[in-house]
Amino acid sequence: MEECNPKQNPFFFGKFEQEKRLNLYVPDSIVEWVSEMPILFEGVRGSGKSSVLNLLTWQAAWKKSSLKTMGSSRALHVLSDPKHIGVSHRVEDMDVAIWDRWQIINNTRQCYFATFLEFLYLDLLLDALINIRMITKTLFVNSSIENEFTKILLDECYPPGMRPNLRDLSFHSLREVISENHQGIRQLMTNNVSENDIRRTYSIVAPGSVIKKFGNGFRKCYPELSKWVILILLDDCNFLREWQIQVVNTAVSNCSSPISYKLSSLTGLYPTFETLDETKPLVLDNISRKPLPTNYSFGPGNQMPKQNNKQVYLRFLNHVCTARLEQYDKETLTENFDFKTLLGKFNLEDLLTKKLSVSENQKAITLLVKAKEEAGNGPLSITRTWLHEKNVRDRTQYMEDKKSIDETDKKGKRHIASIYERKFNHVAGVSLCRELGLDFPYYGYDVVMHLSSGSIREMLRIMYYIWEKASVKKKFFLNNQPLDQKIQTAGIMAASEQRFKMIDANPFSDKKVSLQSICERLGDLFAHCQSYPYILAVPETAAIAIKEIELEPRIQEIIRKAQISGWLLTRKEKNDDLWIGLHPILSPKFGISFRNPFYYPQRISGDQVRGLFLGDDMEAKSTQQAILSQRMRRCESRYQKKISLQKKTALLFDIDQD
Amino acid sequence: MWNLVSKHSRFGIIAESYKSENDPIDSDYQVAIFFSGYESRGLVSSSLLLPKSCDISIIVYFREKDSAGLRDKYDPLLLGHVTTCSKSNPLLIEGSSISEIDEILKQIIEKIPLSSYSSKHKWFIDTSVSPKPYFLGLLGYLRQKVQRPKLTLFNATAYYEKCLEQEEAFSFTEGLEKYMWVPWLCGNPDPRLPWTYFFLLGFEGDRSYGTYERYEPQFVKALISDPGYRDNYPAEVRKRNQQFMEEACPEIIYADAADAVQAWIEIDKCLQVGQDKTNVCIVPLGPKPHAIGGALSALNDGFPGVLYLMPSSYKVRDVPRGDYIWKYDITL
Repeated sequence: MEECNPKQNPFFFGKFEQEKRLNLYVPDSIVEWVSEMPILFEGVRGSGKSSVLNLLTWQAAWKKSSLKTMGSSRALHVLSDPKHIGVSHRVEDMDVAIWDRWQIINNTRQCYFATFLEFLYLDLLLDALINIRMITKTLFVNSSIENEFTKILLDECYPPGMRPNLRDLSFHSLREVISENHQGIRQLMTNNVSENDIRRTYSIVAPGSVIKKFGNGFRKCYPELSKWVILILLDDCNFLREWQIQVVNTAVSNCSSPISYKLSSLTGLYPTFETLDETKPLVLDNISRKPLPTNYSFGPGNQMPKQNNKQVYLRFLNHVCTARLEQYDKETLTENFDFKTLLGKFNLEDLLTKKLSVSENQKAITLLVKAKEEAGNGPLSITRTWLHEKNVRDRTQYMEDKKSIDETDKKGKRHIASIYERKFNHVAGVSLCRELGLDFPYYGYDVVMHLSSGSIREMLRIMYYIWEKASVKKKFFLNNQPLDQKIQTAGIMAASEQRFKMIDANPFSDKKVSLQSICERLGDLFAHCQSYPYILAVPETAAIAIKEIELEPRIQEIIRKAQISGWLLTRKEKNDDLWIGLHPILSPKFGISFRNPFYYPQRISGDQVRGLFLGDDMEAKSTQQAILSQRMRRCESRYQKKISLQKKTALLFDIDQD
Repeated sequence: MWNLVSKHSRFGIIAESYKSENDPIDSDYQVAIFFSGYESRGLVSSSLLLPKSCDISIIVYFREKDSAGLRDKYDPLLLGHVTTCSKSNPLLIEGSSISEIDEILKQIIEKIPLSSYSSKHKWFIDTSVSPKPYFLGLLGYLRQKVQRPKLTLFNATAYYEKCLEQEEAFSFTEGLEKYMWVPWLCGNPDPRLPWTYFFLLGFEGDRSYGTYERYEPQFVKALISDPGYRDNYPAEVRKRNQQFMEEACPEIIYADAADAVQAWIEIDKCLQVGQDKTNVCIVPLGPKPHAIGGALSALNDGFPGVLYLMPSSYKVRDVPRGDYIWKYDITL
């Protein structure tokens, strides 16, 4: 047997990470996660949803030999002195497909799905009790209490007449029967049995009823553990069908202390919040939608205060990187790794100034000279000058507005700085580099945070390639020395390229369209939108906006597949709009701004979406041109309106003068 | 002459693999099942079976046809050959899409008389141009429903580059895939256990990688065809699965591309070695004999499931037979 040798890179983002003894970071939020509040964790692919649920399992708390943890003492205390038992199950879409194929009426299917889930979780809970007993040798050891608990559960699971014979009233014996039960339901379902046959074989239970009974029985039988919480963890809920998630939602809304459900789903893909009772959907009172520590989201629509978000994510990244480096070479690691120190701060203007200073391109030199003139004694801003040159910003208006603000008016000054000096800077930087034939300097911890966009896996991918490019400077990681810009840029470009190559390039139509080609079309479109003159319409366009109703099922399927794969992000807006953008990790590949893609989406029509997603290369190209022309017409129309307004204002002024 | 190449038995399943250049299939069968396709190698078995050697023959004609006229060309030839080797007129299954697996399997089963469900009866299935879930599903079905069924599975090896440009030669499917358990091979997973995904690798590396990336199994193993149908094929498999190999870091084993029994032996050996108990999912992305080997391993234990990546469509291409033909005599 041959074994594949994992590469000697501490940031390897493949399967290797799962085999070695993991160093896991335990965030402070775990204190809240183990509470009784039902939680739905939402995040992009690679953001750590499964890791969070794994952290809440009984294994993480009791099977310490398989896990090394890091975190604050408050966080680690939750695992070192656990007062919770968590059991986890991951939804697999091929199992969902079996349920779909079972030719039986929906009500019956829901009943048996509910029963299947209840018995599956009871199986896992009994297994947890058995194992915890073996490990602790003190918990759950009283056999008469065990018998009593088993009887309680037997009564709940089986009506009289359908009660199985157990060897004895132990958890082991009950677990065997329960396990046969849910596996038996699965077998019958895969063999497509009729409703009569399955009803003859297995009775049904209500959603959440068995687990609720487990919770009540647990409290009754083990009153000394009355503060404990039983966590029912369900991963990847986005794969469940609506009819299935209604069962889950019903269980969540019917549960009571000490039971608590923790679910995970890809952002925006939780199927529904309806329950089996149409009048009682799962609402915010019943379930909390929690951000993950990796939910560094950036921009429009984010619930958490931006700064808080950033600090939490940064801390998380630090811990993940430290854990990896410790595993790699604990001896040489001089101190705790610091993401900020290694990668430095991204200062766009400084970086651009340096680039232009050494450029031999005449246009670059001219731009630098103009920027210096414009700056005078103030700070130099290449992007501001470029934006003025291109009339993206009105220089005259800027000067007038700046003069009109009183020196003491801090809020006013901040406002001017925001709309004139900071807005559009990133996209300006990217665009002017493209125009001048320069490599955009991807550098700095904040750039890496933006590019990873909440996905630890993307962050690891970037760090992996930065490490590879670092060559002899790898020791900088271990010594916490700053790593220069060229290495970082090279690493980031390589990561972006690699991420693009991962996208499925297999054509799915006779027009030779593949997911990868769709990605390329979107990237190319956004690159054009962020170039002159299209940037005049609306800068920093990195998404398209479409009415969801205009998306035909085939395109919806493509979008869903791309979301699951993680390279496409979507956002649903209140007016039935769907915004579609690329994951920022792909921004360097296409030379577009690396921030959140949803600042200024470009509205397109259903036909145009069809052209981009399903058309051949020529159709896609002509669609792109049509969209860009649309942008220019909008821009011209706005310019005309502005001129007209200026004329009217001038006329008014003249009249007033008169 | 058919040469015995490999032999194995486990948990009551016995299998032998035989290889030949062009020998007739000198056995009688009570039930024979054939599938229509775009490839001329789909005609090989029916031309080698002896006249009137099959009591009941079933031909599955998928609804999808090609514009190049390959189905129009080969369907009548297939009917002619099968009529010759059958005692009665072949039973035809027509009109269903290649993706309607459950429906077609149901129709096949409905056409088989109850008397054939006997351990004395022999079954013949031509796998050469059949999509995998059909013959794999039938294996699973027979294991469940018949006591000690005896069957012969036939496969004609392939010469992929003979009909196409190099790049296109190693691509067989199109479209966005759906993942599904092969009917009757859904496994019996234990929710307490982690997963091992056993990839039976083929040329379409993006499918291996996509599956690995989608399911993120804790343990990964891979079977590579070596030797392949042709000398250059093993290197081609490695090249096309490079991304998968680098990220998934699988334990790798090897088996002859055409030898289903050797594949079964190696898969079994690999699964018995070392690690903690896991659920097993077999992912047949390579040659059909390996898929058969994987299914036999799954039937052994009762636990592994066999996962099929159902494509939107299969590419239309006429793949001629390679140098050898194989048959696998199996008692389940």
